[in-house]
Amino acid sequence: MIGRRESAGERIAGLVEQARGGDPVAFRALYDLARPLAFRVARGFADLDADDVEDVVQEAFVRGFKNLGRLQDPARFVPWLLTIARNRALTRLARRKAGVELRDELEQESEAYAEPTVEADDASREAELAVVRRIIEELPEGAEKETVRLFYLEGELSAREIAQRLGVGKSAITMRLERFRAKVKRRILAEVATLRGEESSG
Amino acid sequence: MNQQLHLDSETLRRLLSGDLPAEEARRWAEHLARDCAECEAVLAAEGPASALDGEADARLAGLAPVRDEELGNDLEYARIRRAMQGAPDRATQPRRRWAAMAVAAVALLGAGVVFQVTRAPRRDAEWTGEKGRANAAVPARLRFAVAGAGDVERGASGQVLPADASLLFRIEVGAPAHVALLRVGGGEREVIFRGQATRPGPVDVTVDGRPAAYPLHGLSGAQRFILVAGARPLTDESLAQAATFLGGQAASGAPRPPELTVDLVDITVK
Repeated sequence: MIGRRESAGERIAGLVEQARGGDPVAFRALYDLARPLAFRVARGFADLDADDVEDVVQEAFVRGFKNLGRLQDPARFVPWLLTIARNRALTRLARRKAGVELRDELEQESEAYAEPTVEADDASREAELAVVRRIIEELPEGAEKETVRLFYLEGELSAREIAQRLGVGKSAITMRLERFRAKVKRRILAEVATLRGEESSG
Repeated sequence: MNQQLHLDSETLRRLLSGDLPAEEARRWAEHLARDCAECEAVLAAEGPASALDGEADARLAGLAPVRDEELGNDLEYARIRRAMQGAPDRATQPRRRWAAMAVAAVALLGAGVVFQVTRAPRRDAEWTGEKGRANAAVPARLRFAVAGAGDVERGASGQVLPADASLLFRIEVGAPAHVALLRVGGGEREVIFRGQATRPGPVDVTVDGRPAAYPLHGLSGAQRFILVAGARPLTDESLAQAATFLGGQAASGAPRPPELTVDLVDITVK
């Protein structure tokens, strides 16, 4: 290991292991690392106000930290926590808008659902970001591309603020972002499928 | 899989869990590498977020540079630690807390109350949420609820409220602090209360141990409520400076008060 640079995934896995052992410094480091990302996930829901966003972030960390033992692959702490954050946001909206049934469905969260996905070292992380940027570039010019550019590339405005700036309803912004996310998910799923094909044949 | 087939929830599950035969997985890889509105619609309509969402969010959230407002802060982290220790906290029971306040608040509506600061039940004796610091400002946050017609709802900055409503304030500090709440609006400036929180945690504005409501009766137009917190006693000068800084004159170049934390809530009374 001497002379070998620790990857981000290895560093995160190390922090998770330390946190599982009760190390408060590791907990804080994980919080500092993932907080900006969880914040971005929460503010992508235009129906959540600033207080809601803070609550979602806070609840995600509380649930994540309490359930660290259920995380199967410690290196995947960040996507796992972001899954929790997204579910907390959905749960909050469901409680507000719908009845108990939907809420109960959403309560069945996937914190422990750690299916093998694409493992990435630091270099391939950069490549992944480049792929996502290219997906954005390839979007046809129009309202969706503008929304995606404002939210994901510039990152200064929340979905709610983008709705105000563009003069459209909050649900329209949420829908545009969700449509774009589906493109990214399809691309990731293609990577997963490729790996599955290789694993099974190898 | 023929050309007409697209993703459904069962295929998605089998693909993610590794249950699909290799040949089928390879065909899906080929199909999903290209734009497909039908498959994307299925992915957009998924129910509870899955690890696929987490992976997508991790990539998307990494596109823009991190800004200061997105960074973690001591106050929020302290709340997370408190909630992790199992004590009731706003993180887990916000509605119940405000509902409990509603009962007491109704009796106080319209009353000329004398404010005092009392601490909410203590939840964490040792943890302060503070990193090594000496003269840094005390982490502090101001939130409020709106009481009216026998009901209490959590308030949000920017709300337009009727004049017969009242506000119930909650202050949260990350360390022992001197606190004050100011109102600026309609050409007026007043200190609503001053107090001291001897320990970190949430602080409710109460009178005789019961939540006190600040009536909006008699006010009109834009109103700004400013929380000022500091480790040292707050002087009239420092409060005036804070009110000037956040009382709509910040753009005029008024200096930010040193070693003070300020937070604010804006409402409009109609």
